[in-house]
Amino acid sequence: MSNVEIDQEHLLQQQLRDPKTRRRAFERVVRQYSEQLYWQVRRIVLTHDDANDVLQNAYVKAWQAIDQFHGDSKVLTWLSRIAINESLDFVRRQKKVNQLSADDPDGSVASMLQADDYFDGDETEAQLQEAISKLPDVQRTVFQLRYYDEMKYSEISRLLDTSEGALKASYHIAVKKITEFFKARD
Amino acid sequence: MTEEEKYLYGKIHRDNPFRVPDGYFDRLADEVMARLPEEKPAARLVALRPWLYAAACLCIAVIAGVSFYFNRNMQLQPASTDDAIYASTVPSDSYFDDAANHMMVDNQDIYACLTSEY
Repeated sequence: MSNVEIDQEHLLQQQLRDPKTRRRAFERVVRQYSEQLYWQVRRIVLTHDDANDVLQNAYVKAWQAIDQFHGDSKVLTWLSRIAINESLDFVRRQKKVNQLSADDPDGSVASMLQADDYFDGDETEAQLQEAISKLPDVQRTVFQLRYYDEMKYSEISRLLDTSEGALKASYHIAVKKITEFFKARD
Repeated sequence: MTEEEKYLYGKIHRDNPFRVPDGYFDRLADEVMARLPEEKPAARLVALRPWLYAAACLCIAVIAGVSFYFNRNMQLQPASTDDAIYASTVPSDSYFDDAANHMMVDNQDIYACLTSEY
């Protein structure tokens, strides 16, 4: 971060700590970071309605836990962590519901996406999203942050509180699995 | 870049296939802020904390004081009415000793008196 960015970050954290300025500062945070957080959430939960619900719930949780934010990380990193955890919790709950409803989980993600008004990808893209959705949580998250957001491993490490070595291993395993998924369909 | 990565980058593009409704991000902040409570419950608790501590100390002091008071009263009073009557009628051993000293009678004389056939 540049010196200006560092100063802005410090000022923001100070305003979030002060009850008098907290609410206005939180609103600025929501306006500034929503788009970035939304896409992190959307890529995990896949549909717009779910992404909207999860993101708003994440903001409410962040507001309720604001006193526990001590500036150990950037505000965006802290929010991303909450948003990603909320997204993964949502997906886990959804998987349990799908298992109980006896719907065939194989192929349902791709079909669901192609029927979604807010999905513009072709069949290959839908199949890719299905392959990603089958990955374990860490592999899925690392793959999306690295492949789509081109986030550095150091940033992902701070976000997920996992070592860079473990993240690199997870990413390469994810790439391998997705490649195999496509090769099996070719 | 690994062979798998080259394959994937050639197979799938990084364009975003997902869309959002028009104006979504413009409305989002207002919707989020409307969901947040006006005053955080934690802030309210923090403000009340000194009063809560004072109330807790007062309760502990009252309970300790009441316990001490009742405990002390129990020690001063006999356990039962019968005990009270017994304590008031049966003289203590010191009374006999004083009486024996006054009469210049020792224990041997007392035993002899008690075992005689008078």
